[in-house]
Amino acid sequence: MQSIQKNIKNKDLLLDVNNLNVYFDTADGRIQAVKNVDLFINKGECLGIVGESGSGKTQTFFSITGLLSSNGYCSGSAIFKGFDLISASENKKREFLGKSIGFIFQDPMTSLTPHMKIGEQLSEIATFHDNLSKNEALKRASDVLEIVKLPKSRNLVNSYPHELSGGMKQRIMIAISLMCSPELIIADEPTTALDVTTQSEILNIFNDLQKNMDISIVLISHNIGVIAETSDRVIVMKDGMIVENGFTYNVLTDPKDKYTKHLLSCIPPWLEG
Amino acid sequence: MNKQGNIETIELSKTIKGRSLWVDARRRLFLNKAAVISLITLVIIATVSIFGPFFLQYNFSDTDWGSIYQPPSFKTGHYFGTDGNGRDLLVRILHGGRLSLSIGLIATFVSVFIGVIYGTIAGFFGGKLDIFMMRIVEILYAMPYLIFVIILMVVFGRNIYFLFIAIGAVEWLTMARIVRGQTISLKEKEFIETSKALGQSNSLIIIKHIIPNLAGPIIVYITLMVPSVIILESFLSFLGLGVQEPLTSWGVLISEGSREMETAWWLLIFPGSFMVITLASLNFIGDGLRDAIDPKEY
Repeated sequence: MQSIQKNIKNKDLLLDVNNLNVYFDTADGRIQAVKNVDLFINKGECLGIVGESGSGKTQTFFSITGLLSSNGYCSGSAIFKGFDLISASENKKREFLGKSIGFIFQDPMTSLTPHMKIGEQLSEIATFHDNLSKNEALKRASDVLEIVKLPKSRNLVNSYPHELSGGMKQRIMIAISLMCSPELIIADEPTTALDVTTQSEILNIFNDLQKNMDISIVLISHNIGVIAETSDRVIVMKDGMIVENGFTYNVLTDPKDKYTKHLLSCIPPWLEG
Repeated sequence: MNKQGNIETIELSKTIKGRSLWVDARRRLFLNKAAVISLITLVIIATVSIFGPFFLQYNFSDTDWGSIYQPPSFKTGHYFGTDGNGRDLLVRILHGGRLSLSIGLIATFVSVFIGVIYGTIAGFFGGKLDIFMMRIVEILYAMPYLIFVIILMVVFGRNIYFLFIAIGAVEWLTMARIVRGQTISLKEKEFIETSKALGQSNSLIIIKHIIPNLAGPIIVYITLMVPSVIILESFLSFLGLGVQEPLTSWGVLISEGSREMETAWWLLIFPGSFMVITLASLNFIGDGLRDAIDPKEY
C-alpha cells in the first residue's frame, strides 16, 4: 500500500473551510449552530477542536461531510483538494467520503453493524471504493489491522462486533477509515466512550498515523488533555463560533480569549504539573 | 502493560469460534420445548401433505356413489371416512393441506417482498416521500379488503395462482408499516451513519445494513402471518371466492364439514384438527422465534 510508505512532509493545504454556517429548522424556528467558521488543515497536520457540548464542533464537520440531519442546512465553502464539498452533489461527495476522508465516531459500541463480521465490514469499503475483489480486500484488511496494532489473526476478521471490547472496536473503526488510504481523518470524540488507558493507546495510534503515514487528522474533543497530547494546532469553539485559534502550545500556555482561560481553569488542579 | 493484556484476550479468543447472533438465536430456539415440538409437528404435517397422497389408494377427485358419508373405518380403507360424493376424506385433507400451506407460504412471501421494499424505502428516505407512501398504505387499509379481493377476482378471473397474489397484495400493508417503523429507528443508529460517512450508496446501505437487521422482526411476523393468510384463504373459500372444486383446501373442507356436522361429524373434526394443529404450531414457533431473536423482550 502506497500510503503506508513514509512520504516526505510538505506543508500544503488539504482542507480549506471558509465562512461556514450551519442552520437547523426546529419547532422554535431556524437556529444557527455554526457561525462564520473559517479553518484550514495542512497535509500531515493534527488539528484539535475543543469546545463544550453544543458549541458546534461536531456539526461543523458533519456539514462538511454531508452528515447533517434532514432539518439541517449549511452555506459557505469547504475546499478539499480543489473541490468544494459543500456544493457538491451527493454522488460526487461519496467518492471522497470513506476514500480520501475517513470519519470516526464517538461511540465504537454502536458504530459497527452488529450482524456483519469484522472482516466483511473492513473489506466492504474497499470493494466499492477501490473495486477490489473480496480476497484482495480481506488481504488489505489484515494489513490495516496491523497498523492499528491489532494482531494479525484470522479469527479477528471472523468475529462479530459484540465479541470485541470498546477499545478494539474503536481500533477497528480506525482501521475501516484507513482501508482506502485516506488523506484526512476526522475523529469525532474518538476517546470519550473509552477508559483512560485505552484512550492513550488510541491517541498513540493517531500520533503514529500522522507521523508515519502523513495523514491529516482533525480531532474533535471536549477534553483539553487529549488535544494537548496530540494536536499541532487547536481551535476553541463556543456557541458556534471560533473564539481562539493557534498553535496548541501557544493557546494552552498563553490563552488570549476569556473563554479559553475559563476552559483551562476548569481542569482539576491535581492534573496540572 | 495494557497493550499486552489486550493481545492476550485476543489470543484467548482464538480458541473460541466466532458466534453470530443467529447461532445464539438458534440455540435459544431449540431450548424452547413448545417451539421444537411445534416445529416437528409442522414438518410432519407438511411432509405427509406433500408425499402422503402418493401412498393412498384413493384419488382426491374420485367419486364413489356406493360409499357416501362413510364413517371412518379401517376395513374400507377410508381412514377418515368419506364425504357426500364418496370421496376419501384423508386424501382430500392432505391435498387441501398442500394448497393451504402453499397459499400460506407464497402469499406471505409476496407480502413480505412488497412490504419490505416499500417499508424500507419509505422509512429510509423519509420526508415527503414517506408521507406520500404511507398515506397510500392508509387509504388501502381503509378499503375493506374483502371488496378489494373481490374486485381483483372479478378483473383477473378466478385462478388459484391469482388467489396467492391477491392475498399477498392485501397482507403487505401491515408488513410495510412494521418495516417502515423499524427502518426509521434503525437509520438513526450510528452504524448507518458510519456507512454514510464511508460513502456507501443508499441502496447498498438498505440492502447490506438495514434489511439484515430487520430480519428478526420480519421472521417473527412471517410466522404469525402464515396462519392469518391460511385463515383468510379459508374465509374466501367459505364465501366461494377461493379454491374451486374438485380442488380443495382446509378452509373449503371445514366449510363443507360445518354444513354436515350433525350427521357426519368426521367431515368437520378431521380437517378442523389439521388446521388447528398447524396454526397452533405456527404460533408457538413464532413465539419461540421472538424470544430467541429478541431475548430482552420477554
